[in-house]
Amino acid sequence: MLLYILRRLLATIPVLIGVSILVFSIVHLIPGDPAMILAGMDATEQQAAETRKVLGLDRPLHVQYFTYVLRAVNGDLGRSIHSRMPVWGLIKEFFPATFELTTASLILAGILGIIVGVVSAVKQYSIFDHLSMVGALAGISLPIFWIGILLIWLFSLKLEWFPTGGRAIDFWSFEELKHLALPALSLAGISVAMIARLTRSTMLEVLRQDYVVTARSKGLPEKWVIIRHALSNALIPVVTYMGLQYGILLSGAVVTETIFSWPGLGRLVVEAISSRDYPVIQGCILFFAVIFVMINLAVDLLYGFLDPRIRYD
Amino acid sequence: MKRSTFEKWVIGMAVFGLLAAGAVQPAQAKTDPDTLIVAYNRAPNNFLPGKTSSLPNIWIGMLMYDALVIHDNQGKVHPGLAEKWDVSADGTVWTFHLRKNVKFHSGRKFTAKDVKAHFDMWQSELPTKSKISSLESSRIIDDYTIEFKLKYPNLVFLNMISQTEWGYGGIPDAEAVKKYGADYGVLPESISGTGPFVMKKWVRGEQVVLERNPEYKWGPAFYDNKGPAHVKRVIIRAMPEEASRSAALERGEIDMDISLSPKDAPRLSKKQGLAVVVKPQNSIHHLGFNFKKELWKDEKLRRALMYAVNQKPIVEMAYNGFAEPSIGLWGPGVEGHTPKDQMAKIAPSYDPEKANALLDEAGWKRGADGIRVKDGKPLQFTVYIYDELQANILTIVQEQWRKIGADPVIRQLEYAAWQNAMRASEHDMRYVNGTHSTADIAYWFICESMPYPNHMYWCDPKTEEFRKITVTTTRPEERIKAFQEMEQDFMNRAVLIPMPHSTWLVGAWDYVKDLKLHPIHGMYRLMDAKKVMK
Repeated sequence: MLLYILRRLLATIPVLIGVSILVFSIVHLIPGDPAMILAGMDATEQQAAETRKVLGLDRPLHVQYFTYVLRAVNGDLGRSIHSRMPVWGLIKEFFPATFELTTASLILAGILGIIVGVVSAVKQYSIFDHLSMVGALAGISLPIFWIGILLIWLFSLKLEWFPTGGRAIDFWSFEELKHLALPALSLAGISVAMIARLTRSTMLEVLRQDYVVTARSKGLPEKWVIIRHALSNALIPVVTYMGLQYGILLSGAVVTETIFSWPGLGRLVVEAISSRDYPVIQGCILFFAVIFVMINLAVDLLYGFLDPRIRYD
Repeated sequence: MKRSTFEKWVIGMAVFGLLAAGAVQPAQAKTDPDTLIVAYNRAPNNFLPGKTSSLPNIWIGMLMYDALVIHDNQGKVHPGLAEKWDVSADGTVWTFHLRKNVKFHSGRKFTAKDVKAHFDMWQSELPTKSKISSLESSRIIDDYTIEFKLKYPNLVFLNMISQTEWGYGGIPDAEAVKKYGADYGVLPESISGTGPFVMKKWVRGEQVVLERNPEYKWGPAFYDNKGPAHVKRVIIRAMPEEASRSAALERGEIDMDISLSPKDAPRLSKKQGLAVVVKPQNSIHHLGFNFKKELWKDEKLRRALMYAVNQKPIVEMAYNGFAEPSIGLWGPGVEGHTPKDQMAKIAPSYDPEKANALLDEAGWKRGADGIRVKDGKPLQFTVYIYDELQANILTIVQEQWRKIGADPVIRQLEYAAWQNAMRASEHDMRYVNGTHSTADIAYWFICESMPYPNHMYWCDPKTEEFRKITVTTTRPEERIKAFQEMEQDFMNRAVLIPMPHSTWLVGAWDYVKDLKLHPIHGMYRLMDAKKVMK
């Protein structure tokens, strides 16, 4: 298995090189000039040119790229053009909030989605099945920002159960959990719906398999048949989806982060894009790429635990 | 029919939710009486004065730094860290006599060395150095006297180094700047000014916590309170979503929303215990023609478009009433603006009949679809904008222009792309909004500033002459006259179309007293602000 992990890690190198070239080209191709933004709305062309020189943005693109890569290899992702803060420092400050939000949301989505999916499959065509699938459809269709605003209106403004947003200053406290509840719930909406639908369909398929019939005919309790025999086999596509979804949520929680004033990486990247803060955009996207690759590797390794027939030799 | 457990649970939850939602009383503030919690729509990222032009950096920086001079809310200059100043007869040498016994947050004494260090850095390496382009050199006379030599006589210099001019003139602790280098202003522990509040904690992207400076006793004369601020602590929370900010205000999680949306203002002003504080801005909102385009050589066409704009529905619909129709370019609180009664005789007011008549005279004939045509070309042009408010305004203007037979096409770009489009002269017209402290923003309209920020590509000898007077004269009355004549000339020749002056809108609980809003920055130094809670 170690050899497999090493092979997979080595395979990430060309992926990261590709990502770096792609991101570097795209950020420099989109219209907009960080020097103009930094120099202010009323800066003249000459002042912007001076700022461009100070930032090294007047050099040929290939020179800028190789300088960037050489620094990145040495662990230096550069400094933000606007805040002058080291990019790695920014990632370290903003990532915990995103990690906390997406992990909580995925755990919530996983628990709710799998329970709803299993019950819907076991009680196919029951009122629970119909209602939960309508709910799942709504969860997929309703925009996150609308769900977010609705949650704030009901749970913060009317019921006063949770704060409207922000991350508590005292991390890892009960107060923090209260701050986390609504954004996590809002972000979990789509994932719950997808996981519930996926679990239901794979469970229905597995429940019709011969080995499930055999397990039942052996007189095993129904709960044991469902959990031990059916669910563990039905979970493989669900885990794959959750792994992919985790990567997507990490980089795509920006709407939730904005609505709930959550200081995460998504907001940092969007602000960096608006101000054409090239080093921050490049650094964050490279970071997302690494995280995505790692999550996929972890998901692949998890298959082996779920299904002992899968080997990595 | 017997209900399942699940059905009972769903019905129970729904009934409980509805009852609970209906039963809740209006929210009350829950914040600490010694802490003022302020919400802003953006997060700061650097607190070295002059390093960036980002508004949250500037405003929060104003709480932590002092500059040599400072403008009051009426635009009058007052001593700040300088007790007084002298100007040489030829207007090129400015000598500032500094306050003694002023201390930085680090405990160090403030001296002329700190002033020189900041001005040297500002002049040589900060992106906002254009603000002091008239400065040749600075010289320390003694610990509490510094002299600035200018390249030419320039009254604007005093405005540019004032704290109100975007805070770039705020003086940081030179030792701290030296010690932290590039990290000064980005690490919370690096920040050391002489202002009324001290950096305590900075959770990037989330909030800044400032503590009152207990040693502060050099507050500007125009504040009632010159000593330590009344509130012990100020927390500035970055909340980008306006609906979330207004919900947090209603719920009492924050004391103030200083970037209140005009959309939420009417609703919040009706809430018991909440108030909407309004202050007219020194805004320079206008629609500008791109004079590189042949179309706008026709003054009658430009004037017709001016006559066709009715600002009343724009104020009512786009701003929800929180704006003032404008008849000139400069803000009404700015030295150099033409008095309203005088300008009313010059500036075209809404008159669609006159607009139609002018277009007829200019040879623009209505086609079958109602759009006017001249020499086979329809009266079609693009208007470039960059934000939602501008989109709301332009939708109204578009309809008004269509009534006189023009067919504008609105192009909304994000700001950075809009800047590029301006430099590439892609636009036929563009909308600009902004606030300014002095009429010196006139350099937006001179040849040297093309293509940016003069994206109207207006290059005119008369304007150049006015501008020359404003930057070189040492007589304030001559400067004011030149600004007024420039503004009147713009209206006379329909160079641009003035749009409503916006207002600063602050939603606050009524126990927050003495906010004293500023026309350029809205919220300012909070010296007199206090919480009077029962």
